Parts: sequence; structure tokens; C-alpha cells
Amino acid sequence: MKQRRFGSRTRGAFLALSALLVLTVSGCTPDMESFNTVTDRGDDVRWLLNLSFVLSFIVMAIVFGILIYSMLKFRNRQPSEREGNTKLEIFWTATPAALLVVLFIFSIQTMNSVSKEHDDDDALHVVVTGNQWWWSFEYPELGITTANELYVPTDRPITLELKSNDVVHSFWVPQIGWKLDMIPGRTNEMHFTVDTEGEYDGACTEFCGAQHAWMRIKIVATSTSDFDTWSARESQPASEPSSLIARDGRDTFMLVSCAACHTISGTEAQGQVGPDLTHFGSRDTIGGGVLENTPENLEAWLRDPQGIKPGIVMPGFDELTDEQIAALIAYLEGLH
Amino acid sequence: MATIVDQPTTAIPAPRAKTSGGLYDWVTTVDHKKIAIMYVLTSVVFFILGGLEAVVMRIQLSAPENDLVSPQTYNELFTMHGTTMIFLVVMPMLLGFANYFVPLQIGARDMAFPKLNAWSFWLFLFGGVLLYYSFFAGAVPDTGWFSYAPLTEKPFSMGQGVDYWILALLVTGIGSIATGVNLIVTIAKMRAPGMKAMRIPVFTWMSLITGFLLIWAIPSLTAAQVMLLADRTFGTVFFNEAKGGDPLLWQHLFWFFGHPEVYIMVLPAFGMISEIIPVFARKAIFGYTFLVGAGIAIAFYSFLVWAHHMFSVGMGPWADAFFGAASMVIAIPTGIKIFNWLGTLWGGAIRFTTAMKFCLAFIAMFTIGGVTGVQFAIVPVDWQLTDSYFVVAHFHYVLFGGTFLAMLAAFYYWFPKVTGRLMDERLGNLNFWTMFIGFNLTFFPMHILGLMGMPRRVYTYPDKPWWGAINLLETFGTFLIGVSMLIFFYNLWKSFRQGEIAGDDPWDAWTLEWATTSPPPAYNFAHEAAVNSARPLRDAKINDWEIFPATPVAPAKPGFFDRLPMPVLGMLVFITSEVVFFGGLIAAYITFYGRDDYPSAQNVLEAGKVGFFTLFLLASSITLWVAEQRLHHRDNRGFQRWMLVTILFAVIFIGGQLWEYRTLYSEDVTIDRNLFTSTFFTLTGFHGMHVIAGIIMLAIATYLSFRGELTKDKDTSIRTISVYWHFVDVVWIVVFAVIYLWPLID
Repeated sequence: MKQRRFGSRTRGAFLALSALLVLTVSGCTPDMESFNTVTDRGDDVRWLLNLSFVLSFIVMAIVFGILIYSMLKFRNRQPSEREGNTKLEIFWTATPAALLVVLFIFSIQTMNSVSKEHDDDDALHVVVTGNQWWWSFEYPELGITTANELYVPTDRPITLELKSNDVVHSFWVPQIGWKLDMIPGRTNEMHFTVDTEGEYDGACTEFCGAQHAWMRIKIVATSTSDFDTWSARESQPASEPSSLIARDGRDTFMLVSCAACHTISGTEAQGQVGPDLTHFGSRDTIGGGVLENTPENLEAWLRDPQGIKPGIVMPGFDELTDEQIAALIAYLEGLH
Repeated sequence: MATIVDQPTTAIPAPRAKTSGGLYDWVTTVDHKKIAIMYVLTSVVFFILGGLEAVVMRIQLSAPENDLVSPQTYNELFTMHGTTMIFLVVMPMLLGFANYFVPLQIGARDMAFPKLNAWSFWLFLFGGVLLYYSFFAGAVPDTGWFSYAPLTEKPFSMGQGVDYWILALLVTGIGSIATGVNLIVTIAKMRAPGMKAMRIPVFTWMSLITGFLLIWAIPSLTAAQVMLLADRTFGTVFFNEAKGGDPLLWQHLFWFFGHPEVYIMVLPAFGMISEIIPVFARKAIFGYTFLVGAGIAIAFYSFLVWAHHMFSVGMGPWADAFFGAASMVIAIPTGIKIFNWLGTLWGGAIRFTTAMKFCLAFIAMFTIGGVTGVQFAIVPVDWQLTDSYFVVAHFHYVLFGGTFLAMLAAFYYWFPKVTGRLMDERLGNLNFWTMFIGFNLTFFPMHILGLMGMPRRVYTYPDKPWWGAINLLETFGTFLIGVSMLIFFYNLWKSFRQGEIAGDDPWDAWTLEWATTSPPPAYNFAHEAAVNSARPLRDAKINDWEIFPATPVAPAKPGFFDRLPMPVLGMLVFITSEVVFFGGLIAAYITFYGRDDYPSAQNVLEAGKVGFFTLFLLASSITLWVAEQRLHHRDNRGFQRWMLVTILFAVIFIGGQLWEYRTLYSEDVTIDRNLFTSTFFTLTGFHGMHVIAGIIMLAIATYLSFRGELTKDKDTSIRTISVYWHFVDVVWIVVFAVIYLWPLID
């Protein structure tokens, strides 16, 4: 049989390594939000994250290198009798220890820079309350209450006061740079300044029950002037319905118990169980991110929210007539 | 190859070794080898169940917004998958291997407490059955394997799923603590002459250290679960924030168990690797002392890092910094171990058996899991990545790519010893490659998903770019893992029936288990072994060392452990686990002290009255001591009299406690009023239950004495019980001071 240049084990090792390399490289292609931070503090975290990856890859390279070298070289020979080497032990104890000390110092610095309160009093406060399975956002300084989509101005210090109404939740938008839990009975604070306009996705990251998967967050960071426009509109009570059908919708809303759970400011609907709907029409999604906010989706949602997001508290309204449903949709989508 | 000294066939014929009997034999066995086989086979069954749960989960996740299973079902699946794999697969499988091989490696006949050993197995089996019965009861746990409060409290979890989770794990936990005690006493006292500490095989060392982790970690979980059960059943308020309780108390108690738990799941695997690599590199383990020392260091530090699972909770900079630093420190001994394994390979003569391939893969996979672990020790990195798929990747790399691959290596290595036949190497090669590729295909991309923002424990996800494709790739990997396991099971089955006969020592290995037949006879070794180094068989083969000397070697001068009877040592070891359990309850009491107006320690307790009854309990320790003195003077009647006085005093104490409870309840000071009542009744109640258990033991001992079966020469039982009894008194002194005396000086 023809002698092959590399034995089967060598080829096997090479194959395995290539596979791993391909996986790693191919994994680098898609956009990883943890590396696309849009806050100063998030950038600090990202720097540390990058450093940790560099060090990890170095360690992996050393270990894999020695492993593969040993697999290739140390076969079919007389084994050495060496049972230890104290100097080596000290070396590979002290070197990682030194590296870790350095890493620890960097980590303390970043911990402090991430958690410290804002220097000035210009910060915009938002009270973020986690509920099963939606978010409420209140801007006490602006008199705004909204849900699931967090609007913030860029280049302005933001302070989020994180609370929970029921179980433990966690507020994570990777592009902000870090997460913080919401523990019932406590308030945790996140301080940051967003430097780039854009929409940033996030999610609840502490398992909180049946619909943890659809407790999604969207942060919309806009210029100060756009934010001012938004907040001026948002702090107004609900706009008057502009059409007859929308007015019917409002009447239906008050009639069929929606008001028991939802608030529409400026009307008699002051329910606190579900999200505030005062400006529902201007939101991108329904139900904590599970559906895009379109009339068709809203109809499906109103008729059978349980079918879309099983386990939530909201009942279905399939028993309403088609006209009533259409009226509700017209009213709600008109709440800009 | 040198031959091992043959076991003599003259003199008293060895008992006929029956290694497999009928069902009755297996059900009633106390033979560590049979118990071990039952542990391992039962874990294999649970592995299949846990694996199927994972397969369904992965199919559900293979496309965004998939609807194969409902969210409720998915949440049950991931809860059961985690709970099963940790408590019903990895732990019992590792402990099964330890059960089989620790006595053999130290040249012993069995474990220290064979009946306790059997009891531990049956507790594991029944706990597992109880957990899975939840499927039939329609109340499957669905709150995650770490069951965070208040999600697990009422009204958020009204079904009985959480209760099944608690009760099943309470049962298996007690069995695991018993195994820990068994391992410690066995290794402390049953080693062959000459087997000093630094000659103990690394696997046995790691099993010893794991024994300590078991007995000191599990009671913290037990305390937490008892509190949760009380919240759900009796209306206590430990974790009920609305009534002043603290959800974080659950997290602290749970993770104080949870972190050492992961080392329970990895240290025995480290031990397996440390046995197998030397044999197939034909070279002694490199840096034995440092390996053992690193194991001890890891175990010690594992109790100091628990809150690194809570970095995102907002504990404050000092706590975060401390736990971050400690978590980094623990990386160092782990690194030492990896380098020592590499040092063993270096300069060796590697034989690429299937077992060795799994070991090599272990080193690589565990390194990946290890470096991501160090990344999590960096607090701000943890803040970004915890609770995402990045951490799912991390722990699967260390537990699956690490521990599970080590167990597969151990199967291939030790299967010949257990069954007498070798596993098929061609199937083994196929098993290995499908597993290696399948595992990495499934779990490596999870790092990416985590970095992309995918949270863990989600039954589905939005259709963001690449999320679906990566998840689908991972699901393919899962199927490859399934194929690999099918090959493995087929290999087990086929080799068991027609594998090549192995002989005593198919690998030319060096530790004592290879110095007896495959499988070993019921009594393990016909003669007592004696060792001269960490590699006794090597000494026999190269230096003509007599492993089974004709004249038994006299043991060295009896040390402290040698003078203690095994049950007494066992009880001493066990009460350290009780310290942790009571510690958890006392910690809860102290945490909540002073937070209530009424009822509270300051206004409903009667220290004087309880102090009076306390005197009886304390006196009972003295009378027990007097009873033992009488026994030593062969005054059995005197012994019996003083025992009865001891029991009487204890009963009076319990009577006093019941009177106190009755008085409180008549004033409407019930267990569910507030933090004080929750912690007070739970702590004193459990102490009372321990007293009652002690009374029963004292009564049994007195009865044995009446029958003439407990005398000065047969006094082990009373010595054991008295350790327990004095401990229960000491606990009461602490509890009395904390509950009744503290408000007086406050």
C-alpha cells in the first residue's frame, strides 16, 4: 500500500481543526450586537469583552497547539519517565495569576465607570417596570407613560430606574452594553448616554414565566429635536377620534371591559393591569414584540391574544361583531 | 509483560463469586459493584429522557416563531432537561463510577457503609421516578432548574410542578449526602496498607474531595427548598416580597449549593481523565501533588464564588468585586490541571484508543468552556452576556464537552473491568467522531447567538438575520449527537454480549483495580493488598513488588482515623452537613431579624420558660455521657437507667417546645404571620424534629442494651448516636442564643 505522507490521525486532527476554524470564522460574519455598542459605557464593556476574547484565543491556541503537537509527535516511541517539574508548575501558576490580576483591575475600572451615577442633573429619568410579560415606561419629568418601546434622545444622560411588579425580570439591550435585573421590592439603576440614533433590540433576560420569550424591548434613540416632538405628542392625552367609526371604537372600548385593564389618558379608561394604550397607534409592535402593529395583526390579536401569546392575562374578544372589531381597530390605530 | 502474582488456589477455597444474580439479588444487593451498575444504568435511562427533551427543544428552536410545542410545554422541557441532566444523570453516573472503582482502587472489599450505599441508590431512583411522575400527574415543573423565587411562589406557580421539583430533589439530595459520607469514610479508613495520601490514585482523590463538596453544598439547597415548600404549603413568607421576604435569599442559598455543585460534576471527571491519560500515554501523571492540591483548592474556592451567578442582580460594587476576584482565582488551579494533563502527554507514547480520544477531546472542549468561564468572571462582561446563549454554550462545553466526554472515556476504559469484555474500537471511533463533530456543531454557534443578543430559556425567537440559520445548524448537530449515542449504546450492547475477552489488565495499567479479575469477584480481592507507590501494578511488573504479600503487612501505627470506628467517623462527617443546613435556616432568621413589629422576637417569646426546658436538653447530654461511662464500667443496668433519664429529659424538652407552640398558636402567632414567625417556627421546628429523631435512636439503643446486644465491647452504635445527640444540643445552644437571648441584649 502506498505510504501516505500524513497518517490517519494527523489527517483527522487537521480536519477537526479546520472544522473548528471554519465554524469560528463563519461565526464572525453575522452582526453581533454585543460588539456594536452605542453608549460610552457600553464601549468600555466592549473593550473588556474584546480583551477577554483575545486572551481566550491565546489560551486556546497554546493548549490546542500543545495538544496537537503532542498527538502528532509523541507516538511510537519510548516514553519519558518525567513525573513533574516544580519550576514549570510555578510558572504556569504565576503567569495566569498575573494576567488575571491585570484583568481584574481593568474589570474593576469598567465596573465603576458603568455603574456610576451621571455627573450632571440633566439626566432624563425613566421608570421601567417589568410585568409579566410587558414593559411599562414612565417619564415622571415629562408626564409620559408608555409601554414596550423606549424612546430616548441621543447625547443626553439617561437614568433607568428598574423595578418589577411581579417576578424577577432583567433588562437587556446588548447595544447599550450590559444588563441589569429587576427584583420585586428593589430599584436598580442603569445610567447611560446613547451616542447614535437608531433602533436597538432587546429582551427580558431572566426567565419570568410562560411568555418570557415575548417580553421584548425596543429602544428608539432619536435626535433631541425629534425626541422633543415625540414627547410633546406623547404627553398629550389621547387624540379625539377623527372618524365616526373611530368614535364607535372608543365607545366599544369603554363598553367591553378594555378599560378595566388599559389606560387611555384623557378618557375614563384608567386600568393598570395591561400596557398604557394612549398612543398605541404610533407603536411598531403589539404584545411585547410578538406582532408588528398592523390592522390585520391587531384584529388577530383582539380576537384571540391567547392563540398568539398563550398564557397572558388578556382575554379574547372574538364574540364581538365584525363591525365592533373594525371600530376598535380604527380607534386604536388612530391613537397617535 | 510481567505477570501479576497469581491469587493462590490452595488453602481455603474462595467463595463462589456470583457476579449476577436474579432480580431479588439486585434489589437486595449491598455490593458496591452492583449498586454502581444500577446507578450507571439508571442514569443512562434518565440520559435518554433528558436527551429526548433536548431534541424536542432543539426542533422547536430550529426555526423562528415555530409552534411545534406550546410555550408551556417548552418551559417544562427545559426545566426537566436541566434538572434531569444534573441530578439524575451526571451526578449519579459519576457517583456510580466512584462507587465501583474507589473501593477497588484502594484495595478494599466494599464501601464503608454498604447498606447506606444501597439506600442512597434507591433514594436516587425514587426521587427520579417522583420527578417524572409529574408528567403523569399533569404538573410538570416549568420554572427552570434553578427555580427562582418569586416565580416559583404562589400566585405565580399555582400548579404542583414546583412541589414535584422540590420533593424529588429533597429525596435525591439526602441520598447524595449519604454517598458523600460513605466516600469520605471509605477513603479515610479502608485503604490498603502502604497507601499513604500521596499514593492514592487521582480518581479516588477527586472522589474524596467531591464527597466533601456533596455534604457541604447540598444542605444549602435543602434549606432553600424547605423554605420554598413552606412558603407554598404553609404560607410562610421567606421569598414573598410583598410581605417583607426576599427573592434574593433564594438565589444566595441556591447558588451557595449551585456553584460547588458544578465542581461536584467536574472533579470526578478530572479524576477519570487523570487515570486514563497516563495509561494511554504510557507515562505517569505529571505533577501528581499539584493536581491533588489544585483539586483541593478548587473545592475550597468553590464555596466562595457563588454570587458570580448573581452579578446582574445589583448587589453593589463590593460584593461584585469580591466574587469577581474569587471567581478569577478559581481559574488558576483549573489551569494547573490542564497544564498537568498536557505535561503527561508531552514526551509520552500515545495510544489512540477510543478512551484516549475522548480524553484529548475533553482537554480541548474543557479549555473552551474554561476560558468562557473566566470571561464570565469579568463582571462587566458577565453583565453583557449572562442569561444569554453565551452562557448556555459555556456550561455545555464544561459539562457536556467536559464531564460527559470524560464519562464516555471512562466507559471505554473501565467497561472491560466491569464486564470482562472490551468495547469495540471501530464503533468507538465512529462514536467519537460523530460526538465530537455533533457536539461542536450544536454548541459552538451558541456563543455567537449569545453575542447577537439571544436570551436563554426562550421557547421561540423573532426572525432576526442569521438567528434561524444558526439555530437550524445547532439542531442538525443535536441529531448527530443522537446518532453518536445510538452508536454508543449499540457498542455497549454488542460488546457486552460478544466483545473480546479482556482479561485482568487489558491496558497494561497501574492501579489496583487491574490487579483482580474482570469482572472482580464479589469480595474484590482474595487477599489484602499492600502498595509501595501510586502505581502498584507498575511496581509489580517492573520491580517485582508483591501486591498480595503472603503475610499481611502490619498497618502503620494507628492514627486518629484508625482509632475511630467507621460509624462514628461517619456521624462526625455527617453532622458537618447538618451545620450547613441549620446554618441556612439561621442565616434566614438573622437576615430577617428585627424587620417585624408584631409578632417578633421581642414581644412573643418567653425566654425564661424556654430556658427552663433548655436545661433539660442540656442535662440530657450530661446524662448520656454518664450512661456511656456506666457502659464502660460494664454496668449495663446503670447504662440503661441513665439512658432512660436521657430520653425522659429529651421528651420533657420536646414537651416544652410543644407547649410553647401551642401557646403561640392560641395567641394567633401562627407560622404564616410574618418573617419572624416563618423563620422562628421553621428553625425551631427542624431542630425539634432532629431531637425527636435522636430520641428514637436513643430508645433503640436502650432496647438493644436490654437485649444484651449493646455492651462495652459492642458500643459502636451508642458512640455514634452520642455524637449526633451532643451535636443537636450544641445546635440548640446556638439557636437559643440567637432567638431567645439576642432580643434581651438588643
